[in-house]
Amino acid sequence: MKRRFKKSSYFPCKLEQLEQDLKDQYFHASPDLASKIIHHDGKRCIIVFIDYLVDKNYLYNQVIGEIQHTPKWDHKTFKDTIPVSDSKQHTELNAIGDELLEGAACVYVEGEQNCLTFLIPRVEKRQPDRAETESLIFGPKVSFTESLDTNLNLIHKRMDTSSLKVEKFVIGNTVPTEVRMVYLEDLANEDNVQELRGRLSVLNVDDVLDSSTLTQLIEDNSYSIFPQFLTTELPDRFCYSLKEGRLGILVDKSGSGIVTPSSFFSFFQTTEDNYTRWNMGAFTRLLRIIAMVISITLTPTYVAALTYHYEIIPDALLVSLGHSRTRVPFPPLLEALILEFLIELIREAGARLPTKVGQTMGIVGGIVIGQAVVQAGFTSNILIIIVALSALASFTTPSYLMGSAIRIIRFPLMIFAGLWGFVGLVFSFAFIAIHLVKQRSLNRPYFVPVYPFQPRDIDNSIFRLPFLHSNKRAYSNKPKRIQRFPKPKKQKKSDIDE
Amino acid sequence: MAQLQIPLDKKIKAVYLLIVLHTMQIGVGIAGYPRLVYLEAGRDSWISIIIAAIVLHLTIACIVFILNTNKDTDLHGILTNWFGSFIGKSITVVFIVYFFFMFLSVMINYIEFVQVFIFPQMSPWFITAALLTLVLYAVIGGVRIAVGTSIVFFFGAIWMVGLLYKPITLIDIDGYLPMFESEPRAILEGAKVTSFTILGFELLWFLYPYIHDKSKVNRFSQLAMAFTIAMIFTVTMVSIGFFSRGQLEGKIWPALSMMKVISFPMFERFDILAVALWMIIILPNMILLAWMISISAKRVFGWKQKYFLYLLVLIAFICQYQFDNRYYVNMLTDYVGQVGLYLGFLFPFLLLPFAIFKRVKGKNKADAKN
Amino acid sequence: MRKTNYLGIIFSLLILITSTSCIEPNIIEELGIVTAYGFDQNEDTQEIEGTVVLYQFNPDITDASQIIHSDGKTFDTIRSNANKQSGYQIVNGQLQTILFGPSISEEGIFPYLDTIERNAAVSDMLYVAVADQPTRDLMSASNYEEAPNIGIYLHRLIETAVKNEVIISSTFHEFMRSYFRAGLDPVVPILTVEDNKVEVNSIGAMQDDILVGTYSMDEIFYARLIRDRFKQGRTELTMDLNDFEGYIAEYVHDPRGDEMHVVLDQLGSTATIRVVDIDALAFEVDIKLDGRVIELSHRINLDEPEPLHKMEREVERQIEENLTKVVEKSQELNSDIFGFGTKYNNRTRGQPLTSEEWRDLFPNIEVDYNVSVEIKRFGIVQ
Repeated sequence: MKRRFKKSSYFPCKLEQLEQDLKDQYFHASPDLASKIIHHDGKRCIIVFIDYLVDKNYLYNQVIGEIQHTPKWDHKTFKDTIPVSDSKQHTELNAIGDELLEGAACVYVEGEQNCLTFLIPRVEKRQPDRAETESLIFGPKVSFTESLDTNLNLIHKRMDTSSLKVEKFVIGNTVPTEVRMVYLEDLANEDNVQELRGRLSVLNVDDVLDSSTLTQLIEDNSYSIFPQFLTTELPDRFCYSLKEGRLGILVDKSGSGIVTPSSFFSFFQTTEDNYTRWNMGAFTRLLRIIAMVISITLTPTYVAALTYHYEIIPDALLVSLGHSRTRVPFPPLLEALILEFLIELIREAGARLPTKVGQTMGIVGGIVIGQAVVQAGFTSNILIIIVALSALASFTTPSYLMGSAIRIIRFPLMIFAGLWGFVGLVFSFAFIAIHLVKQRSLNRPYFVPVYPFQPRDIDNSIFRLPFLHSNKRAYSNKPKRIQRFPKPKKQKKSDIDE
Repeated sequence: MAQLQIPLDKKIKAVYLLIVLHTMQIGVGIAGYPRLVYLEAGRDSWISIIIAAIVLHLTIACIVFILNTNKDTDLHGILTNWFGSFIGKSITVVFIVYFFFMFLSVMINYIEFVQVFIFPQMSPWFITAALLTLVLYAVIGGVRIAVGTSIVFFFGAIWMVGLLYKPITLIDIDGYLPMFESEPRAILEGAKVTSFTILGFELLWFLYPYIHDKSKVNRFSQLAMAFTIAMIFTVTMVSIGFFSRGQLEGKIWPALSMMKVISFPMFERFDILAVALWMIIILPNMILLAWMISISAKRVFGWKQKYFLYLLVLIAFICQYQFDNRYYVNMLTDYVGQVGLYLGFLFPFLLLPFAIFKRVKGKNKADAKN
Repeated sequence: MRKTNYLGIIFSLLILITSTSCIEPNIIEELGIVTAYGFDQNEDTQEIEGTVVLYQFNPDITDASQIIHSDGKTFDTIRSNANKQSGYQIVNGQLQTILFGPSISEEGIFPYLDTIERNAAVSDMLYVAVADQPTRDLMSASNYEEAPNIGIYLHRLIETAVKNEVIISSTFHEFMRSYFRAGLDPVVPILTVEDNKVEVNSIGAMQDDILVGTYSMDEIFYARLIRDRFKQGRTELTMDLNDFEGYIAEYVHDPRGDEMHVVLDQLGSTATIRVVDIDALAFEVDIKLDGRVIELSHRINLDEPEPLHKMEREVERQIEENLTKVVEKSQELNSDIFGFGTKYNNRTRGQPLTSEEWRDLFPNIEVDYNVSVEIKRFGIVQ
């Protein structure tokens, strides 16, 4: 395709001048701007690039090598012979500078009207590796990397369909970052797509650090403690969500994708639930939700019961509780707060330290301190059990953000229980319930199979049915096609021994 | 003005009526109701309930008929359409005042539960503040949130019905015998008492325009009524069998007293939690009433709904100080019930002739056009 | 992105938090949690002497018992006077047993039960029991097994007896229900001390709230047969050996004499009381009983229908005999623990029976018994 370029005011120019101008005007005397001048047939050609941004191997073998072997030196021939697809012709010095920053090599033959750039960036990327934060026992273990190309590649490999649509956004004024919105055109709800497109294109910030930062920029209610967009580092989970009619967002330089709209209960699912047999999957799903409830209620109930409602404690437990409590100098609320705080400290310390030290930390914190705390009469041993159990329960939540939210939410609950007993506890639960009902994720209800009440969606959120029976996608995402596949014909049930 | 233009995303499904109307009816009343009806109708309370149920179903049918005559508008709109702005506004204001006292009576009755059962020294204004915070937080989210919280709270509380199994095992059949002993007059009195408890269906007057599929309104409202009746029937029958005459006549809140026998291995006294959990049962009442009051006030006076909500919360908070002993609480509850009898049950039937008239006229017009 | 009035919410939350001092906490180690009360009447001062059993928490000993004696005219005064002798706040929320000494049970126990019903903190499932000696002595019995204190022990003792269907359950709720029901009198377990250990001795028949007589453990079985139903009851009967002479496989000399002892267990029973003639006060009690033989002092071939039926008839006869005795005893005491009055009341529509009326009628009632016994199994020997 022929493109006509406006006659440049800058070109043609001397090679040395071009080099000097780039160095002085655009790069402000950067030491890393490299250049090479080659002669051929009386013609001179300069190649300018930034040392650490281009793929040197490629530069020497393909670009310079081709130039040297080309008999006729002009830009048209270069463009044809040099095997780099991403080549452009520029006439403005600034445009050339921008290209150089992206990892291009700039080629200029003296006397030409414009300047050629070949994009040959050196990309430091790691290979797709095992997932770290969302670890799995079962199923594919590959995780997203920090490279957008690789991530897109991973997704395309899994979803070999023409309806996969990718839209490009560039977000960030200071540091522009590429953001891709990925969805299946024939499934994703048009309103959702519009909404997300609107939110992404309206976004006017200086920088997007990571996908988790992006979620905080575009989520519905930034004051809520609950995450509203799911972030995942598993391509298979990402793709599974797309196949449910959800939308995905990938951010360059970020090792995790965003899935939206997500409901409260989707934070308690893993892909593993789908890989295991349905009854196991259903069991683990229910287990996690029960664990969440236990994690939230157990310590506050202890505090409420010991502070106000001694009536409810069964007499077998009352004696041992009473015995161990007599030595504790704090009221139950303070006792529980101290111990919960201690557990959080151990967790945080373990997370900050290198893996090997972290494990030691866990043992020291968990066993030694736990033992000593009880013996010193700081807490009752039943509280140790309760606190450990609820911490354990909170770690079953697959989403780290949701797990943290649950752990943090315990503290206000404990305080309320400590101040007003069960009335305070019920009050705070009611408050959380109202809050969850009010939440929205991408303008879709957050607390979905509960309200709006969708009994058919329980299959895909809280429970799981055998795949052949769950041939419908979740209603709450409002996908264009509800049916995954036609329901298999029911075979006539034969009698026993027929 | 009369017609309401409600955006589609503010509308709710008719199925929710099943739960919302039910939660609106079941509140503080059911805790004390078995005794009240027993005092009137004795062992034959079930006949009273059935009579009240028939009247209730008829009333609902009547309300739905009137609402269907004027599509897409609430009670205020209907009255304004038929009788002009002044009468429409006046009657709506009467309803608002009535709802406000209902709101107040629910609140102070719950305060009394808490004070009697768990924390005698807990100050009433504090519980009021807690309840009003939640009401404010929910209602400010709009009608969908008000309905949504009611549904979530319904699921949060309905399992408590299952706990009746323990009292049921302790039922003494002799408590129900001999049947048909009460006089018809006593039974009617019992039905009247029952009607106080099942008030709350007036919500339908105001929620109707927000319902998406209007053809199903009748079906689900009737089902909701049946559900409520089944609930109070069960609770009353279990109470009568569980307590003997003298006990039942003496217990102010038999339904809560029944909870005293429920215990779990790790939770010896369920009644303590039940009283706290009762908050979840009354919150839908308060939230929906607050929503109704604020939206109707907006319809009448035309300011922002938000301001009415703040005003309501403020007035309720101040009024709560006036009701700090059992005598006044009883008086308020009784008066609200009496007024409710007229506004809830009688009022729809008064409107019925006008609705029929409008329909006939509308039909004639349509015929004439054809 | 949505506008929500968070400032308002946070503000109201702050108001809530600042009002922390509203409620007095009841932290368990600061409480003297009462598990049992015992009441005796002081004949001289006309005051009630209360024995209060509470938990005493101490990590160094497993025992958690403390007993305080205090006086007062009312239940609550006793509690509050007991508090004068204790550094703990004495509370009733875990009350499990309430015990009355003979001096009170003969006068009427109802006046002391009101506060239990009125106070929501007290459970309805506590046991009401009567002691056959001053409760002060009974509650100082020092052998209470593994229980933390005697209050818990008393509760477990009665509960086990109820579970084993040895006595008739009398929780506070059941006591009040019977008390308030015309034509049905409450029963209470009677406790006694033997070798420094409390045991269930008999059950007491109440006339309203006054103890008028006792039924021995053997008689309780028959009382329970009418009043309640058995699921896994047990009884022992003695039969004349001569009746079974032909069936005994091999005569073994028994030092107990010419008697055959039969133990039946896993007894299931249903009883229905019917009013046959309301004017003549004629009642009929149908009892269906089934169970198995668990012990037999002489080998009888029960596989044959004849001896089995004979035994069943014999059991029926004996049960009927005993039932008659028990009901006659109750008529003498004029305490209708079986609920004949309730059934009578069920038939008199329009004129509710009062307790007083039934007191006049009850001694004159005529009762017929139809007992049908089925022995379903007889163990792994024939």
